[in-house]
Amino acid sequence: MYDVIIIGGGVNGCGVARDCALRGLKTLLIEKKDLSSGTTGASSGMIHGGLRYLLHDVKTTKTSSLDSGYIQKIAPFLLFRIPFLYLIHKKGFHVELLETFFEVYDRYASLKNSKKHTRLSQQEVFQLEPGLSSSIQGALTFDEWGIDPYRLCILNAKDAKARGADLLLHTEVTDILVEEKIVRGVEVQTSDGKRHHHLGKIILNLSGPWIPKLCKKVGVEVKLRPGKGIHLVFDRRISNVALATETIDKRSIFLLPYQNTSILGTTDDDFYGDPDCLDVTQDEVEYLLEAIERVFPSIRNERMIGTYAGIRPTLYEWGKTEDSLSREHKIFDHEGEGIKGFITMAGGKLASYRLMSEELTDLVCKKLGIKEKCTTHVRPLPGGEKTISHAEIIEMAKEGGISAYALSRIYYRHGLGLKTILEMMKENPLWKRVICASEPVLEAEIRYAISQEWAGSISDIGRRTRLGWGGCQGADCVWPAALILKDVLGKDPHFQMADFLQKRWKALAPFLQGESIAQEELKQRLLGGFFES
Amino acid sequence: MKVDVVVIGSGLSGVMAALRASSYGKKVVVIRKGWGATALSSGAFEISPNPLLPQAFELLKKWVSLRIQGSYEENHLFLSQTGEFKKAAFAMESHFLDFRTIGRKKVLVLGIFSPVIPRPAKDLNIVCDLVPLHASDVNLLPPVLAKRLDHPEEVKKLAQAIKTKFNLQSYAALFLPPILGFEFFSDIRRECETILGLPVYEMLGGSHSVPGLRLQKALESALRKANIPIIQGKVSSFSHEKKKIMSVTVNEEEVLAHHFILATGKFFSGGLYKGVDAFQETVFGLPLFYENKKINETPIRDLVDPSFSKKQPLFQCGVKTNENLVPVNEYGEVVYENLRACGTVLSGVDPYRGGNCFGVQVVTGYRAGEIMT
Ligand SMILES: Cc1cc2nc3c(=O)[nH]c(=O)nc-3n(C[C@H](O)[C@H](O)[C@H](O)COP(=O)(O)OP(=O)(O)OC[C@H]3O[C@@H](n4cnc5c(N)ncnc54)[C@H](O)[C@@H]3O)c2cc1C
Ligand SMILES: Cc1cc2nc3c(=O)[nH]c(=O)nc-3n(C[C@H](O)[C@H](O)[C@H](O)COP(=O)(O)OP(=O)(O)OC[C@H]3O[C@@H](n4cnc5c(N)ncnc54)[C@H](O)[C@@H]3O)c2cc1C
Repeated sequence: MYDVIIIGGGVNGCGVARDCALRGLKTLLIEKKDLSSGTTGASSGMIHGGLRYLLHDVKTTKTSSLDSGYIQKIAPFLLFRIPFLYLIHKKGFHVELLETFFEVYDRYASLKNSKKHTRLSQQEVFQLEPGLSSSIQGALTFDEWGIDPYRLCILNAKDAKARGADLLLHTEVTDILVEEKIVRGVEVQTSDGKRHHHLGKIILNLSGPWIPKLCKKVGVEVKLRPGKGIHLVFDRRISNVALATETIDKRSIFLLPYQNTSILGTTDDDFYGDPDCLDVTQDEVEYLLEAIERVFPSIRNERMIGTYAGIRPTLYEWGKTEDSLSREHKIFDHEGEGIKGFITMAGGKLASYRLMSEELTDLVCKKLGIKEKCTTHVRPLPGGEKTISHAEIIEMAKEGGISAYALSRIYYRHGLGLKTILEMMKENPLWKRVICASEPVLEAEIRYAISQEWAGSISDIGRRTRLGWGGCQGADCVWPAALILKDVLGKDPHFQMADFLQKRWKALAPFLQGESIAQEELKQRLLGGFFES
Repeated sequence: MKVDVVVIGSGLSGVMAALRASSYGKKVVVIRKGWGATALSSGAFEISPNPLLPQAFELLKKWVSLRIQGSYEENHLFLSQTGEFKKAAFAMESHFLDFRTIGRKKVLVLGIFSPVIPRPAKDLNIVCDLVPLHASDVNLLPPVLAKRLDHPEEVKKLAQAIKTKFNLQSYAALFLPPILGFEFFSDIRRECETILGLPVYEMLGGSHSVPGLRLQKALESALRKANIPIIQGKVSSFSHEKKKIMSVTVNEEEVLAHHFILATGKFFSGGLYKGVDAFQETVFGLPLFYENKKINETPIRDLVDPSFSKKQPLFQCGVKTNENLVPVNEYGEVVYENLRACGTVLSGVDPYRGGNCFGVQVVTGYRAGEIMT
């Protein structure tokens, strides 16, 4: 019998699982696909203060900024500073007005270790970013923190597990067991189609866009105003700093150097469809390209390597535009509606996951009569116990006989966990092999993701290591990665490869253009042979 | 510069056309911006029946000093490093083993750091393992390994390591990845066989294909032997008078000629491009076709199949020509009368799933170079 069963392995599910486990609760987390495969993985990956929300939603700005500071302390290796230019396009634009706005944002800067804004002249802007359109008049600077949302989930989940929580991935909650208006547990279906029951005292519905669907199963209602957002991914860092600008309908969007790629995002449109059937449309792609082209004209010649879409599980409000919807979160204790032990948390942001998790865990503890206090803001995530300097990394790389760049990327993803991976390579020098050259990802890290982080497919490996997510989109690495999966888990390599290639193709084929066609042509020739006859 | 024939592209079809034109006594120059698909190909020659193929192919074999084995009548099986048996009519000699002669005898197949998983292995008795390479070689690409094996001591070392690791007596043949030398591969393979005491074959090339590079190099030395210069550079523009092309410009130099041959490949090689609005043939702006339908303005969505594993119309589109390989527009009218096109730049040639790649390249190159006037 579990104290708490969590439905959903997004950032909130993982964050709550960690907090519950740290406070000694017997915890079970159930995720129908892979950790971070829902909204969390489709986010822009910014632990930001929410400049955008300043206009509609000051509270979100403040809490996000405060918590951004905490997240930097518990996982220092996983954050990277993103300097932004807010571009001023028109002549006669009221820079002063905008500056006042940024001055307000500056007040939160110290909470999240950010720099205050400055104003740059046209000349200064072009020095920083020579590729900008000549119609740019100047810019204001600000900065935010970026994070790998996949790693954030995995690390929370790993810590939860280390503290005794159980995890079931690729397992869907198909029903909630209720007896006499009290929840008793859940019915699940595993990927082989079998159904099981798991009993628990409290069930947390943290299923993001699927929240209403799960609520229906027990006859309660939580209404969302789901907002679809897409991103485009480019093959490398095409700008030096992040660029923020406006769309035709005056929404702000950005082009962001993100890890080894660039991402362009995002849209925000009411979504009425099924969150399991999510496709990026031509219309959305053009909307973003057109907006950024105005300030960054070369965007059309850049190589787009992928697209992704997600649904913001925003709280319901009637009559507002999508952007002005509050990013606040809310906890719904359904005891009020007559179902005891069933609680939903909706809304919020990636940036506030820790705080949200704390609030919800506080409530769960209160219900169970547990006094333990929250420690997630001070206790480091796995790998964050100590920082390693760049000089040390260079030294360790030399000693281990691998490239310093590869090791610095491993450090970025794993923090101190890099020691385990180095140890693996010491025992098996062949695992120093570079499998994905774009990132790069070494064989040892793939084996680590499979054996220590629940990876069971090439897509899972991608979420944990970024394998196959760079310029070549798997042309070189899918087959060796599939062979490693076969070696460790006995999986059918042809099925694994086909599955990955199909997912990638679906997200890119309708938008192919320029150099990305050449890359796909090469991939067809290198890997198409597998599908012949 | 003034010549009789300008060939644009130095892949299999361009070189074939250049050699053929030169055999008629024409002054030929090849302009190419780099290496295309030919330099990445796997070493097998996929063909489909064509009455002209034998004579074209025999000429190629004569001009290009590569030892090629196979037959026009039937396909043979060639082992790739990812484990499939690829069907092709010919391949470079080192890949060619007639599996029917093997029967139930054991064959040893060694991969580089990843095992080869043969499929379907059918009745073959295949044992798979890894080439005994040192852990410090783990990140060397095949062409680097191949270059290293151009040195006799290195070949001896590798052969010795194989001999120590495996009991070769029980095998009828050994398959290695295509790394047995870069320049001197025929000798190296013989040397290996002598030391190991059994027939040694190479699998086809995968990514970073050594056989592709060997083929490209061989094609270029054939050009050198025929005194056909290669100009390294991208054709940036051209001039024409009505329907006659007068010159092309490369590296800011104008090259005048009577005949022009387009052998620029598809997207990957640079012959085709899709810009913001439209598809383009990159040198002369020719109209592009998929199954007789002009596609310059067709949305990409209509040219891709949602399933990765299906044939993609996108990779079958290209230039359409009349029976003399002269590009035509949607009304069947000749665009430029002194221009011919050959190789993958042609529409209908799907170098991926068609199974007749090199055959088409050789025949169209042969015909495009047939310039007597
Ligand atoms: C385009 C976009 C950009 C964004 N950018 C940012 C940003 O830069 N910064 C920021 O702070 N926030 C951002 N957000 C918001 C942020 O991503 C979300 O608020 C957050 O990720 C929500 O996490 P979650 O765990 O609640 O939901 P999810 O990540 O969706 O997790 C829910 C999980 O539940 C699982 N599930 C559903 N049904 C079941 C079932 N029956 N059984 C088992 N499991 C089930 C799903 O598979 C899913 O993994 C962005 C959102 C979008 C869409
Ligand atoms: C990875 C891979 C493996 C393959 N394996 C096989 C195989 O095993 N068997 C088989 O039969 N086929 C195979 N193919 C297909 C085969 O390689 C091609 O069909 C064939 O090589 C195409 O030859 P080509 O002469 O038409 O073009 P290419 O070889 O692509 O040559 C095009 C040339 O045009 C030049 N060019 C383009 N634009 C310009 C410009 N503007 N100015 C100047 N020069 C320009 C390029 O630089 C290049 O030199 C493979 C292809 C690939 C990519």
